Amino acid sequence: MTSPAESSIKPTLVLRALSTLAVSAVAVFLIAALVDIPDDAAGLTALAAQHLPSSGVDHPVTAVLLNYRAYDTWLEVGVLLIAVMGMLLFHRRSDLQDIRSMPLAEPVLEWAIKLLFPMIVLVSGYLLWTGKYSSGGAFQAGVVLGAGGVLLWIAGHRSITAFRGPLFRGLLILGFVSFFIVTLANVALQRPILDLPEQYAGTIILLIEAAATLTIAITVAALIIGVQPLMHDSSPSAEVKDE
Amino acid sequence: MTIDEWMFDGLIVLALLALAWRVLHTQDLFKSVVLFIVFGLVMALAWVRLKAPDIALAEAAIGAGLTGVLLLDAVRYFKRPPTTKEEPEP
Repeated sequence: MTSPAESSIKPTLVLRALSTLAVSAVAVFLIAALVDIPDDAAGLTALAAQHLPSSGVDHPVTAVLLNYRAYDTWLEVGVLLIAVMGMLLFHRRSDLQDIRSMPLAEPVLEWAIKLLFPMIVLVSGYLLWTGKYSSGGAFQAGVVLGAGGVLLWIAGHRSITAFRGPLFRGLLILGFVSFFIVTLANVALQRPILDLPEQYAGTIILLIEAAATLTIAITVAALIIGVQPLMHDSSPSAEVKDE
Repeated sequence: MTIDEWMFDGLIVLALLALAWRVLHTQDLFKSVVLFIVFGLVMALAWVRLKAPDIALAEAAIGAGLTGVLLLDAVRYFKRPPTTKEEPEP
C-alpha cells in the first residue's frame, strides 16, 4: 500500500510506448531545430546594442527587459501578483499577521541569522544596482531578499508576518502599480504606453526595478510563509481535510 | 572548443539527463524534489556555459530556490496524515 507521498500510478505498456514515441518525436524535432540554426545568427543583438545608449542602462539584457520589452516584465510581475492572490484566496487570508511563529531558533541559527541577514540585504541591493551595468536586476534581487525574509521567519522572528494588512497588500501591488504609473503618464502625454524618455530612462528604470524588488521579495516570502497554519487554529490539520 | 570544455559540457549534459530521469522515476516524492533542486543548480551551470549569466542567476534563484522550497512545502502537505490531529512540524 502506497502512502500519498509516493506515486502509485502504474501505466500500461501501450501508454508507456505511446508516450515514449511522443517524447522522442519532440526531442528529434528540437534537436533538428537546434542544428538548423546557422552559426553566425546574431538575431537582434546588433539592433539592441545600437540603441543601448538611449535606453538608460549599460547592459543589453537589462535594456531588453526593462525598456524594449518592458511590457513583458510588467505582465510577469502581474503573474506573480496573481499567484500570491491565489495563495491568499486559497487560505482565506488577507494578510499574514495570524501566522503561527516558528519556535525560537537554536543558538547557531540565531548567530547565523545575525550575520547573514545584513549580508542578504546588502547583496540584494547590490544585485538591484548592478542591473544597470551587468547581470542583475529586480528579479534576482527580489528573490534574494525574499529568501532573507524566509530565513528570518525560520529563525523565529516575525519577519513579514509583522506587516499590517494595508502595508502588506500595498507592497504586493507596488511592482505592478509602478509600471502602471509610467503607462498612465505616457497616456496623459499621448506617447506610446511604455516608451521611456531618453534623459529619464535610467532613473525611471531604477525606480521601477526598486519597486519590483520589494514586491518580488514580499511575494516570495508570502508564498512560502503564507501556507503555514494560523496562530489561533486549534486543529492545525483542519486545512488538510477536504472542504 | 578544447577537449576539456567538451568533457565539462558533456558531463553537464549527462548529469542533466540522469537527474531528469531520476526525478521522474523516484518513488519517494521528497527525494524527487531534492533531485529537482539539484537539477536546477546544474541547469544554472549549463546557462553559464551558454554565456547567459542573467538566466543562470534567475535559474538558480527561482528554479532551484523558490520552486524547490514550494515543492518541499507541497510534499510535506501531502505527507500529513489527514485523520489525526497531531501538530504538524514547523
